[in-house]
Amino acid sequence: MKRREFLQGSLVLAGLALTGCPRAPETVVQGAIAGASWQRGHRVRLEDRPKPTRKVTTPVAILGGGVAGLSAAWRLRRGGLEEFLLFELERELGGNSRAASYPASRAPWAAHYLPLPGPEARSVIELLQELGVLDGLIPKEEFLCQEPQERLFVHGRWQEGLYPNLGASRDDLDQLEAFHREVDRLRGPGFRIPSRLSTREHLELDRISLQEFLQKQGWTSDRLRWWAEYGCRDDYGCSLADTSAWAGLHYHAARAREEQLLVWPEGNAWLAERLAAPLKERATPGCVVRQVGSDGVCLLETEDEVLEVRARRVIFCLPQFQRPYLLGEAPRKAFTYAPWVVANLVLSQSDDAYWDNVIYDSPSLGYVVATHQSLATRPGPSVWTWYRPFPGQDPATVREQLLQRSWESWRDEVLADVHAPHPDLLDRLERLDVMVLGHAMVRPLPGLISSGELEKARRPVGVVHFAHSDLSAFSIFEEANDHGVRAAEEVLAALGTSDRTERFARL
Amino acid sequence: MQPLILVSVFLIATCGLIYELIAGTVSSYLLGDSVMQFSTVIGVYLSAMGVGSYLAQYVGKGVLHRFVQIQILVGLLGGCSASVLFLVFAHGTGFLLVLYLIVFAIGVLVGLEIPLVMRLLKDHIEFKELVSQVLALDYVGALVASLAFPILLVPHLGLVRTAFFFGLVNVGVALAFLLRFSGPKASRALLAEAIVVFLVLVAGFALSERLTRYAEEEMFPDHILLARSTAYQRIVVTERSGDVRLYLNNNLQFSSLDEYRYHEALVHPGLGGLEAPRKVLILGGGDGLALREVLKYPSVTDVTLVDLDPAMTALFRTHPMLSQLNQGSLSSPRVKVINADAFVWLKQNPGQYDFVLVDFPDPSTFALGKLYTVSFYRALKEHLAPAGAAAVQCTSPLFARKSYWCILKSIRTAGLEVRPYHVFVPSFGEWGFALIGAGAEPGKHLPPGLRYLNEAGMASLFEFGGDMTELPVEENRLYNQALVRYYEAEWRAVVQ
Repeated sequence: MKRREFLQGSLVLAGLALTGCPRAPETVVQGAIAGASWQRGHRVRLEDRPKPTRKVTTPVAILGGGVAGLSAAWRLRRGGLEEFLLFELERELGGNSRAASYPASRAPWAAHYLPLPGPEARSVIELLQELGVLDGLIPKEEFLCQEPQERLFVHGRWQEGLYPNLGASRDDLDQLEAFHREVDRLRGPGFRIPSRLSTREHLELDRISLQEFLQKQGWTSDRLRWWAEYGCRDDYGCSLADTSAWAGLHYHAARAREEQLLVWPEGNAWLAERLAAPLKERATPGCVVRQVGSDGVCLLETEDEVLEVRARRVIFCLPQFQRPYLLGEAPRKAFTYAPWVVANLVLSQSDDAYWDNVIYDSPSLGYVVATHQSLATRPGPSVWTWYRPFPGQDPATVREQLLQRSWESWRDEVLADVHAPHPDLLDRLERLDVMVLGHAMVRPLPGLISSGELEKARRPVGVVHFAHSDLSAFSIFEEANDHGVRAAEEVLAALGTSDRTERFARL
Repeated sequence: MQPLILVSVFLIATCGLIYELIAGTVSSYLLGDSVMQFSTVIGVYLSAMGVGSYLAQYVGKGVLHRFVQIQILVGLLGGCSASVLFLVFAHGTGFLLVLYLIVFAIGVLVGLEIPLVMRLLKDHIEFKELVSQVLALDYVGALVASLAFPILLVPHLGLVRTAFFFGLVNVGVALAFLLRFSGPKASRALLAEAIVVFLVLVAGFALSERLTRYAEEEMFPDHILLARSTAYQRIVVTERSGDVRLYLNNNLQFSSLDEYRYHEALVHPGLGGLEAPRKVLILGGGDGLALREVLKYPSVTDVTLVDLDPAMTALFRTHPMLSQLNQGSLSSPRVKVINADAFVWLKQNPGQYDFVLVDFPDPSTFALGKLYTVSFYRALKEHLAPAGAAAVQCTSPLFARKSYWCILKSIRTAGLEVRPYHVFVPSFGEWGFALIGAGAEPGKHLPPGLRYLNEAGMASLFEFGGDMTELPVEENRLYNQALVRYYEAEWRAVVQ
């Protein structure tokens, strides 16, 4: 090295030392793609039929340990039937209601709140009473989402609430008010939770998309469309054009205008874990279902054995798209599933007060703060859960792309997304984990709910009963719980168990 | 003629930039946010210069006469600018208006200068040389000013004297022009004008020390004893003629002249209503002043004080003047100091107390709002001994009437018996408290040595005038934060 080059080099180094080296995220942020073992999940597609290494008999086999399966188990136990087995693909029960654990806090991997149930959701009310969330019909204050709840980053600043009020014109606000008035008009028996209890009076709205509905009403405000589409993306992973107007309006019309939310640091895993806890060795996680017979004979693979389970009744709590592989039925094209990506950001220092933080015109849905319910007056370490759906795209194509993407590309996308409101985030970010949920939610495409497909799919096949939120065409806790409870009651009746409790699912 | 004019160009360019720098510096110094102040001052100044240059075309005959007049005016305005700005700020209103008016006026006048100078010189120098010489000197003058201002002028002369000094330079240029060019025909009126302004500026320069001190005393009435930023807040303690004041994040917490009224009223109605209380819990109150009152009861053997900020409790334990104020209460062997977040601590630590004092900052943020919720008072209830009592500071029932009654309603909703009361504290105004579950007679057993409370006055604390009586309000809960919204609206109305 020549003397001059050496001097130049030293100057550059000295300059860097003075200015502080720009930190590359690679050197700071740790993380991984977590969970969802899609390779094992896709074994369901294999054609070979492995030979069983062990045979088991049980009165009832529950296939799938998400909220539907856990609710079915809960209902069986309440009905006095303690003898059943539950099988789940993942290592942990809960499905979309699973959670991550960090020193700072636990945090949801998907479902993160439950609206305070209305009077029709009787089994949810019973469950919440049993878990001590409700005292009679009064929620315990510690579980109600604290104020301030929601804010939106728009035009370079935060505003309270999710509707972009900043800079809205008179006409924008009039259209929003008209939307609310229309929802008020629709409220009633036509829109219920669980949705099975809704009358057919507004079902013609299912034949058009929410986009067409807004057009028909003459509501052209960009802000209203963004806000309404945000709801579709948030609730269903769908665009305005992909969402049935009935489903889109159901979200609003089936709930009070100022609904209260139940939240926990770990999201709905708080509920799922309490449902799972009493099952103990009756639950077998890490188990791929390979075949389901209408006679109750099922083939399952664990890591080291192949089980043949002979059940008098089977409760099939898996999504409908698995039925062709497992039951040998014709494909059910009406059911399609939205993929999601969720990231948990572990922070040494969180921001202030708000629970749900949304960024206007971002492809993400923003993030929720796990430590929101803390009673401390000072913000401390926390976990933010960031959500990204892929509306308006072909789910299968998106899934292909998602499986190719590296953790680094997700990290960069998340950081870029939250950079505008939080330019200092890298200074506080300790870890960023990502979960790819290929079939996160069923999509309420226009026409599905009114097609009769849902009712058809709920009908038992032989001794196999069906329960999953996709049988309601949208993925929320109350629907999954309703179908689990309904299927369990069908099984209790079929087995002639003297059911000691009142039935929830009278239709 | 040329050399004098060219030297003048250099001098007036220097003066012009100095005035701009003075305005920017004074406003940054007084208002903070220097980027904002400098940007707006420079913007207004430059655009005003544009206005001046444009207006120069309307100066008809008598260019020289006008130029001299402008010099005198710039000298007067610019020379007095710093002192005027300080005085206006010290007296409160209209600072920004005066600032931008002065900046605009000086800008217009300075903008007029160069076009007029060029016209004076146009018959003596060829156009291309004229333009380049005048502008070159103008820019060099700016450079000299911008270097001299921070290095020489501000450190050695100060802002006020610098302004007067350059005012004198402007008037000097005016006088030189008058004497050199007008000769005996020089307008007497103009000459007199220049001399008067010159004398005014000389006087200002001489008296600037006093002017500055007067303005600063108006601005900062108190001597700052101590200013410290902790992990949680900014602590400022000021002192003036024996009046020590504590500010947390710029909010007055107490004045030593009347804090006894506040702290006696907070502590004694409740604690003095109990028969031989032993265990006391204080939430907040890291200044140790309420604690001082609590320790006046010999029966109290065991006080736990929970305050968020370790820097605060350490400061009031060790600082000579501050620990004198609380009579060393934080060092008492009867006291255990815990630095923790009060609500979290309450939830995590069992134990019952005969008396609990709740002395938090006002509910000005969502975070502080949690400490005034039904949930908080439920947790508080768990820590009250069966015949125990508690007192809560509840902001002003006069300025923040809904906030006050919202706190009272929240306490009631938590299932606690509560009695509202209030006291007048001169430095705060009318202040409100809540007394939870004391015996039949509040303050029945007052300790000796109180300055304000006596048995006769006790009953009056519990009487509310018509402008402070109860209003219908929502209770404050974690999920509605009703109080923070009331509080924000009410204090905003007071400030306006």
